[in-house]
Amino acid sequence: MSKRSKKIWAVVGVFLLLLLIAASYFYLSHKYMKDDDLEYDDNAMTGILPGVDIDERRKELQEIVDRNMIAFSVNTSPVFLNGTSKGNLLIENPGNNEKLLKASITIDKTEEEVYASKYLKPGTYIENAKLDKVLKKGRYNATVHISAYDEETAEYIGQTGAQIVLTVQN
Amino acid sequence: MKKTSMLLTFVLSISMIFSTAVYAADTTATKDIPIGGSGEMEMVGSIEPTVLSVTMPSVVPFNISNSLTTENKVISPRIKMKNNSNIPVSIVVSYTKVDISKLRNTTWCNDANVGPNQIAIGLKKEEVKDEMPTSLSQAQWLWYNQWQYMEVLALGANQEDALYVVGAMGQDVMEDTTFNVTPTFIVSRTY
Repeated sequence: MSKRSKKIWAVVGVFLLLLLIAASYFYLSHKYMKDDDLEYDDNAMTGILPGVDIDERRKELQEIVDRNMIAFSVNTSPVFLNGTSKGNLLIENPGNNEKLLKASITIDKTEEEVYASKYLKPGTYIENAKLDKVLKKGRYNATVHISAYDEETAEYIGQTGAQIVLTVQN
Repeated sequence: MKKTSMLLTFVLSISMIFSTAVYAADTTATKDIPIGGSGEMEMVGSIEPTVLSVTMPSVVPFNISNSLTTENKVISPRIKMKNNSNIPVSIVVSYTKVDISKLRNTTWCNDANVGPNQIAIGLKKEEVKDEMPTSLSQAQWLWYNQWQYMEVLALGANQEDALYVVGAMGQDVMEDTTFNVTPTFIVSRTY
């Protein structure tokens, strides 16, 4: 192959790579749309539409609640050998959840976030993980906030949480 | 003399062999416990982590209207909470984010005693299965954009229970606008 052909192939290769990156960015930016992008209609009114049956309305509300239940598991007392080692967080998104979950851990006293996970698909779990901040030896009361997102669109649904105690041994 | 020398060599060799055997037996004695003898055995205990497992709502939609004839002015779904773990848990509302900016001339009230331009929203434990509460007695009221740590349910191991949203509103509160009330439910282990 001549030098000129090699150059042409290299240029074509780089062009295709850039095209692939651009296509991926476009796809992901549309797929993982954030809650901030949601626009609520100012024209919508609170209350019950005149003539609508209360039981019927209750059923509709019940469907929304049932669709947005979050199931999760977490270790109530994870232990870390030292500030930089992994600890047994045991955060689970059960298979029947049908939602993406994200976990973040905040120290109650300082309100400092010391851990944030990425999305967990249903049927997956984090067994051990390092904290994002180095903590000194001690016991820390903390809150795990579990945020739920739609599995298809990654639209934010809501959040719940659990109180835990982090222990750093050394 | 030669005989004595050979005998001594033999005795020395035998004693060396046995002394080696005794030494070898001594090192293995800590691993095997002879019957009727004594020894040390290491017992290894491991602490199983306590895993908390629950199913809770992430969204609590409700409708409120003065057109309801009952004391409770809210139409609420049944808000199920389930403890899937083998330890008792407590469910608290840690914080409630309230946005009533679109309700002009309306303020929030932290209890049921609302004025003409006030609104109050709370939670009430289910008394009769699948029946929405009509009264506001025993209701626990959500505070306006404040940390609260109010226990709303206590669940035993593998137990399920439910809550309802309840509310009160003054007669002058406008009914044609949306507002958002977002309580954060936090579960904790109880001892």
